[in-house]
Amino acid sequence: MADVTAAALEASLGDHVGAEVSVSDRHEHVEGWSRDTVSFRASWTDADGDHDRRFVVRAESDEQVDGGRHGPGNDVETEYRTMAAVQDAAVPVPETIYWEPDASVLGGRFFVVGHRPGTAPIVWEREDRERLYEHWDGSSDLPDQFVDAAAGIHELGPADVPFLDRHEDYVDWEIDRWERVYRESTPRREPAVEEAIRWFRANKPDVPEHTLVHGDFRIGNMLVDGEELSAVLDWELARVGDPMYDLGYAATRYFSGKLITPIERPELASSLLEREWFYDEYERKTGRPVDRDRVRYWRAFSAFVMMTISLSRVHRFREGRAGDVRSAWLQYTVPGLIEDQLAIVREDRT
Amino acid sequence: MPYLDPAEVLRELSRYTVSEIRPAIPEDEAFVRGQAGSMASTLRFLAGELEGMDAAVATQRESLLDALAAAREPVEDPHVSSVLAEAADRVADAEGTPAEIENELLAAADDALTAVDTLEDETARRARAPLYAFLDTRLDAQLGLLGRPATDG
Repeated sequence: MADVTAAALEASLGDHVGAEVSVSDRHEHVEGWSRDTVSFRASWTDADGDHDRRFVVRAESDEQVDGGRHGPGNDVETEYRTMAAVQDAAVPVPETIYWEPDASVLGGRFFVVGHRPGTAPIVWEREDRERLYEHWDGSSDLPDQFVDAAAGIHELGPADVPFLDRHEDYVDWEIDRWERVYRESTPRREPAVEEAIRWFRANKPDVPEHTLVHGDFRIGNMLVDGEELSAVLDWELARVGDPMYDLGYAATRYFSGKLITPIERPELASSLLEREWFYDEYERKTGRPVDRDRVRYWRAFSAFVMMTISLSRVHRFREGRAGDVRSAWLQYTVPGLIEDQLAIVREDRT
Repeated sequence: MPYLDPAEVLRELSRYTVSEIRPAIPEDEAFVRGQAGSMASTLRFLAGELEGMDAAVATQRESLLDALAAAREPVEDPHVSSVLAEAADRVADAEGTPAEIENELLAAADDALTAVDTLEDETARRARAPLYAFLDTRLDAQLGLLGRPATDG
């Protein structure tokens, strides 16, 4: 964890607002993998009166500061700029407050955003899944808001996020970069994965339109407050690409809660909404046809991506570079994710 | 050490971590509590691996030998046929620890699938089908070691 102390936060935020700031109720959010995330309450008095507000700081981890960052995620500045670009879109996103490029302030570069209420559901925990099922089975508006969030993100075109690279051979770029991480991370050839990679290369979809893609679009990266989807978080994997990627990613079995054993409601994407309803509603709201074959392709590819991210963590553990026990545990997600790739790939190859 | 069953030791350590160590960690130490939970889960999975690895690899070897024999049936291409035959020999002859044998099975299966991919489409599908049955057997074995009931498929 970077040096996100109350005193350092008081000094940094104090400089930003031009007043003496008092920080309290500091809480470290340890569920994530890449950034150090801390929420805190800040109070100060200035010419406008008294202020009392909760914020969240996202800082580079020690690993990133030391230059050992890995994987295809964007750096912390790009994540901030992406969130800033989305501020006026029809997407609930935390208010961007400021970006601090000086790594000496908190021990890593960081940004501050406003705090949003709610909790991020963990679909691998049955209680959280049950709560999401209730939203689908009842009269909750949450499934609609989930679709709205996808539609809102995809309203942004490449010109709205000029700091994100564009790739003419977009699908090749996706396959190449994730395959590179996979090759670096695995100690041996796994025949089912080699089959999947061959299928990805032989069945590359045509992508007629490029938009902003969240890249990690799933209910676990959103805050749910009662029946409200209060924020879309974790913009680290954002890129310019195929909007269908986000739909396929959100519709994987893995992000419905499947790890090792099948789950109760496999038909629900993100344990929240039926897949076909998701696609139909997205079409209706955006006017953009949902190419089922492309979504299916990205579903298989997303399982490959998640497997690769897991293996990259396992690899760090194997090399003695991981300070997190979960890195070893992640190897146990791999067979289930291979099963999900194979379920799609085999339809075309046998 | 023949005095204790290694898998049972791991399971006991897992149980102790969940029931005693994790609750003893203050709630505001969320990261450390999470680490303890992951340790317990990992220990439990390791116990399953340790206990079932030999049988799982034996099942995979048998399945792959059947698959390689079935894959050769529709293949007339001499090079591909030869690759499949050589793969079968390597699988039959593989020796060493379960992990070493498993690596040999994976390399042989991958060589076979790579060779099959050079065939004309319909023949490739027919040759691939039994090899996919091996891939299914492997996944069932792995997921079984992690606790998935066999009937869940």
